Formats: sequence, C-alpha cells, structure tokens
Amino acid sequence: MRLLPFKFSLIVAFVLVITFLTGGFLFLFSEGDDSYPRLIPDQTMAVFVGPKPLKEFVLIDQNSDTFDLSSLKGKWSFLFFGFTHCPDICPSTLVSLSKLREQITKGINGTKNVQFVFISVDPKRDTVITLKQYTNYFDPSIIGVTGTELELRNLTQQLDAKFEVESAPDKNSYQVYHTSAVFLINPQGQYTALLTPPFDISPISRRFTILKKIDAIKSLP
Amino acid sequence: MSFSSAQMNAAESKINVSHAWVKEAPPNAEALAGYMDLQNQTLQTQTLLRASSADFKSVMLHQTVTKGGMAHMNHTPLIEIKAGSTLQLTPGGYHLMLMNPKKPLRQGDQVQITLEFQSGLVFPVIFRVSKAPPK
Repeated sequence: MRLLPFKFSLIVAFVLVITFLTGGFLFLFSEGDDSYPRLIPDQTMAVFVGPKPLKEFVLIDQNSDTFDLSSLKGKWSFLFFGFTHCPDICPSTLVSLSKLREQITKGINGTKNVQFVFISVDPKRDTVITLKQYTNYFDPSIIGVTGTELELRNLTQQLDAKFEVESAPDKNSYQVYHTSAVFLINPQGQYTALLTPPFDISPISRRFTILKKIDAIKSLP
Repeated sequence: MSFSSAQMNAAESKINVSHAWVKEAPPNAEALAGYMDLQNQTLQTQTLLRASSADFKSVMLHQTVTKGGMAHMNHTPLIEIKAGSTLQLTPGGYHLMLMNPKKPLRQGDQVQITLEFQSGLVFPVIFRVSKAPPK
C-alpha cells in the first residue's frame, strides 16, 4: 500500500505524456537562432524538451532590491521585456499577463509560487519609481525590473531575446525595439517555455497546469 | 454607439470611422495609442496622411511590426485604405501614437483627433478613452 502514491504518480506521468502527445503537440525543430528541439503546441506555448539552466545575472527591481537568478528560484516566472514609453505592445501584453495571473492563481488549486516580471530594456528613461508606477497600474503583483545594459544583455542573450535602442537626435524621444514574446522559467531557474503573441489566456493556462504537473513529477525524489 | 457631429461628417464624406478609442495608460505614461476602424465607402483608395490633436503634444501614424520575434514600432508615412474596404487600427498593428497628453486621461474621457487624407478630406473624430476595445 505504501507504494501506491509512487505508482499513482507514474500513472499520472504516463497519462500526462499521452495527453501532451495526442493533444496535437508535435516535436519540431525551431527555425530560430537556437537549435533546441521544441514542443510546439499550435504556436501558443513552445516548450523546450530539455529546459535550459540560466546563468547568474544581476538586475534591480522596482523596490531597489536586487533581482538575480536566486529571485527566480522556487517560483515559476513569466518574464516580459519592454519599456514604459511603449504605447501598443507593452500595455496589451501586461493586460494579458494580468489576466493570466488571475486565471492560474485563482481558487484553492491555483498556483501560489508564480511571479510575473516586466523587465524594462530602457534603463535611461525607466527609473525604479517609473517602473513601479507603471506595473502598479496594470497589476500591483507584476514586478518591474531593470538594470544596466550589460546585465540586461546578459539575461536577454541567455533567452535569445533581443532589444535595440534607436539612436535618435532627441534624447527623450526614441524607440526601443524588443522581443514581443514572454519567457517562462521554472522553479529551478531553467528556461522552460516561450509564449508568443497574441496571448490566448485559456490555452496558456491549461498548458501551464500540465507543465507544472510534469515538473512536480520530475522533481520527485 | 453615439455619433458625434464629427463622425456624421465623416459618414457623409464616405469614410466611416467607428470604434475610435484611446487605450487608457498609467497616469505617468508619455505615450498612448489610439485605435479605430476606417471604412472606405468611396470608389478610390483613401490615404491617411496625418493626424493631429490639441489634446496631445504630437500625433504620429505608427505600425507595430514583428520581425523575427522582435516588435518594431515604426513611424509610417501613410495608411492606405482600399476602396470599399475597412482597415482596422488595432493593438499590435497600425495605431495613432499619441505623445504627451495635455491632461491625464482616464477611462470615459474623450479626445478629439483630426484626420487628414490625401484626397483633401479633413475631419475630426471623437476618441473615447477606455481600458479595453469598445464592443
């Protein structure tokens, strides 16, 4: 009888894997810069077969506290890169992330160990105060983060994310080009999945639940 | 949906503007985005050249283009609407980039933006400030 929970978890793992494979998910190789094999469920969430462990980075959060690799440990993290002078993509994405947070954290079975992080790649204009006001408007639980260009590049390169600051004559009015995707990091600090717009909340939420269960099974001693 | 005199005017000119809205932004935001549906009821392509408003420091025609997973917000010199078709300015695509609002804008507020077309048509449109697209 004492073996039952273990057997049960094996059965759950088996069922989950089958669900994953029959749910229209295909093994595909990405055409992007990285050569990871990906699981691509209809463009909603690309899940890496082997999550990529992240290396050390040092950023600062909206409360002027350090935000580094250890800030990602023990929690699922959804990371989004942008800037506050961004009128179109960033607000839409933050609204989507806020809805996603509501969906995956609600109820007694809701995920508690999850965080949503907005990382400004425009540290020149986005101070920690600006960031805090900005994220608070969309959802006070979203954490605003920024840092030096060097450290921002350190993290974006690990995720194959990109950003580019336009060189404009006007010091205060320039564009910042940035990756529009959202990056999912697992509680071990490993880059696990890539979400691309338009962010369709319900399927993302369902896939996240599956990922979480698989991760929990993998983490069993 | 209520029609302002400006929109009536637009309807008479055979460019019908609907769902005109400005996305509410955080109080300190310097850049906002305006969206609308432009229905071209004329027999020629209509080209939107400029937009202006006394409620903002500047208004620009912009388009968000995603290339290789990276969002570029490009200034676009014009927006063309083919004869008989409707062009939607929606999040993630074409939008009016509204810089530095003269006063804080909250949901329910209205702003007036004047649209200028190559054909010589010029008319003001009332945009409603809202958190989400109008139904």
